[in-house]
Amino acid sequence: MRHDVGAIDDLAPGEMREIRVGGRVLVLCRSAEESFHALSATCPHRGGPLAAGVLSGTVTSNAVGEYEYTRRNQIIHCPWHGYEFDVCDGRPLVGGTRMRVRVYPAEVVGGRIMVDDGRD
Amino acid sequence: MSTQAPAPAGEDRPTEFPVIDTDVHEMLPSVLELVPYLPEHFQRYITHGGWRTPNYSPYAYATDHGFARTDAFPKDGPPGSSYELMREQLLDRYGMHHAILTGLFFPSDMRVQHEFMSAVAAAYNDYLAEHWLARDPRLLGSLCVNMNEPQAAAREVDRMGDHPQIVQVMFSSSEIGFGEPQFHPIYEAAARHGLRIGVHTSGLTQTSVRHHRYQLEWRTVSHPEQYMSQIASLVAAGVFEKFPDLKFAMLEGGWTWLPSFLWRFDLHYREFRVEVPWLKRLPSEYIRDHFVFSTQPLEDIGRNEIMTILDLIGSDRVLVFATDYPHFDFDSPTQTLTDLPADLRRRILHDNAAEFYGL
Repeated sequence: MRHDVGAIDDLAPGEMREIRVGGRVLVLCRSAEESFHALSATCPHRGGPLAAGVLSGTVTSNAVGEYEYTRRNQIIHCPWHGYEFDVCDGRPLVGGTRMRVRVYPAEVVGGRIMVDDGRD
Repeated sequence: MSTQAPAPAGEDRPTEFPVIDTDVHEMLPSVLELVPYLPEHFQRYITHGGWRTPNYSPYAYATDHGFARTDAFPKDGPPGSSYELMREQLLDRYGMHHAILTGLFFPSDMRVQHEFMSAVAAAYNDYLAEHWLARDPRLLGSLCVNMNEPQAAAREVDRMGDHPQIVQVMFSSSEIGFGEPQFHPIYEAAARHGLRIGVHTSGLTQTSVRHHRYQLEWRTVSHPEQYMSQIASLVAAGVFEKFPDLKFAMLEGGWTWLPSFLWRFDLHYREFRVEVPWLKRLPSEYIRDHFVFSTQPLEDIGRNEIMTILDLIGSDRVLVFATDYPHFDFDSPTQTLTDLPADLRRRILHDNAAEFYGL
């Protein structure tokens, strides 16, 4: 079932907030001008409240001693332990799928953000 | 394998039984808070000399939200400096039976004038009693001492040791083995007042390669290495023959390394016993009886690994629960060790600490 969770201007790029839809507690993220993501708000590691974390980027490297800051506004850093999750698919940047965060479809329709809670 | 079954975000349910948290960091809003508790000549070291607590964190970055939980920053002051926020986020939220305040204020590490540091330690204890312990009977305290002046530290233990909410004397790491005779006056004083010794590493904790380039290396190695060294020193020096009631809480240094350490210590004791004929038992037996280890930060392991390691250690009494509030690697009592058998979970989250501290 799809839910209207607000206008796109309610959330600036790089911001996130907790939302409740269909009995679920989710975190809604805006990673770019037209990109919104909704994920379970509970960290699968130790239950940290992801909406209280940080939505930012991450650091990658092509060689020892090199750093590249990338994926701006696409990575949630959990407030407890700092584990990183990709807002696009919920996967942890380190580790297997056992710690994946569930992702819920989110899209913009007529200036409104619509989130599907996964229920019929 | 994960050890937790996450509840919905924002969960604020208490645990199914009261919990004792053995590592909670209360922080000073500012060292200026200590001025009223210092003798006038030492007040001037701060008010006129400009002394401030040194920042001895060896690494500039931990996470995108620093070294604390994002939600643990009070309106004023550093994380851990607000009783009201701690009460809300820890004591009330989880229905805590007790939280043992361990500070993170180590005059022994600050390495300025020893007499001043001993006075600062006493001032800190007075501040702790007035601003924390007096406000909530669930809070228990650790005495701050200057380990570099053991006689002064012992006097401070005698001065404050009978406070009903003080449960231990706090040590940071040291380049000197804790078994060395210079520390024995502190142990004598602790024993006189029935206090435990709590040990927590600090930013100055080093390993055999001293300063690691990356925090990743340091965090992985430094705490267990320091604790193995100090436990070996304490046992070999016969501290537990000399002070049979003395016990140590080793905080935030891990525990899953214990089986290997115990086996190796016992092996070499059989080989080199003549050096330390005052020992009457195997090193592993002293360790099981005189030490507890806090669970946080719990590795990403689950029931099978934990029960196997406890079986190898030969005791389920050596583990005590800790959250490390307000730090970034907080382990929630409702999200950690949830897949253990109920009696073992209760033993780790409450009973072991209650027995160890006599609560």
